[in-house]
Amino acid sequence: MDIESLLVLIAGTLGVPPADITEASDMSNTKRWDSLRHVILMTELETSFGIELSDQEMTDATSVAKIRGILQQRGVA
Amino acid sequence: MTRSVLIYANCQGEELLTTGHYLPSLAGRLGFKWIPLHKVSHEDWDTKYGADFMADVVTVWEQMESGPPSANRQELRARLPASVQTVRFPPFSALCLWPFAGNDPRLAVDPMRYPWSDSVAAMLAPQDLPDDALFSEYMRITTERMPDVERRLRLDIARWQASDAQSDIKSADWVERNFRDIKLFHTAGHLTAAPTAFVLKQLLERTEAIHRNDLLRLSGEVDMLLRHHLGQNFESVPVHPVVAERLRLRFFDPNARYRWHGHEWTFREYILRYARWAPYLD
Repeated sequence: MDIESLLVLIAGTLGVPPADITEASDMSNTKRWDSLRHVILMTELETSFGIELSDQEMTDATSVAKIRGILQQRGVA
Repeated sequence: MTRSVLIYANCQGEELLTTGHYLPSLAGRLGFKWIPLHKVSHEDWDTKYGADFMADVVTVWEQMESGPPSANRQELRARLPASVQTVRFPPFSALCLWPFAGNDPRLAVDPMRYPWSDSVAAMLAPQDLPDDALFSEYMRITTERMPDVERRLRLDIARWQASDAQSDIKSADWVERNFRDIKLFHTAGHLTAAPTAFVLKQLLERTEAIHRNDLLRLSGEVDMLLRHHLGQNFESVPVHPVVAERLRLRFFDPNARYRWHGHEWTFREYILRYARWAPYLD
């Protein structure tokens, strides 16, 4: 999945317009990215990429950049 | 001057606020205020939650979150009068019950129509299938793609326990013990009457501004006020029958109707309307 598709998937899961999500987005600067939506986002990533994230990865994935890094480490993005 | 309890919490705080507001034994003696921690902006601290707002606060019911304190939480703590009592309590959420919550681009355009997303129903929406075919396809795909909901439950339990570790009031054991027998959640983040009463009674018990002799009567008043509780925002998202089967939910009724504003829909009716993004306020 390319970065544009990942941004669209994150936006659609958080319920914000795609233009609101950039590579610099994180939990602190994105309005609807609260703790509940974060867990929903993690499970959506698991479903979309067919992977199982560890507790630590879910805790760490607090920004688009970190999510991308985890997906790249897993070889799915 | 009337004294107040300040509730610093997510939308679950609104239920505590509303119920607290109508407790007859506290009328005119103790008021309730709510700062929605998920909505407060930096400017709000001066315009809405300034010194006047804080002046009569004697107790804070502070709902905890995982991770380090947010900027808003630090702002709250800096602004509270020094003598305020703080009672910390956990948030409640259950992701395992709705495993297909996820990507639906329609949410960004119209976030309030169906705020609890279903990525599979969203994916099927453009196909414009007749009702029977649409529901059949939804059931086929969701059954095929059903994740390990027991693992999702374990993740939920781990989050409940992490929140408990930061809180004066503990909920994880109680939720885990009752999860299969009583419907505790209307949505992934909205509570039914039972957990609302569970946490509210403990908050009242720990509030020093409340006389100990009032507690038994207050407990009865909480039960009375929540007897006809219909769910926050009148929204109750149906549980998928395969989720209920795999999680062994004993409270589950496959023919149950779920409140959705002015309607009561079965699981099938809800999924069809959700997939079609059907308006329902007419």
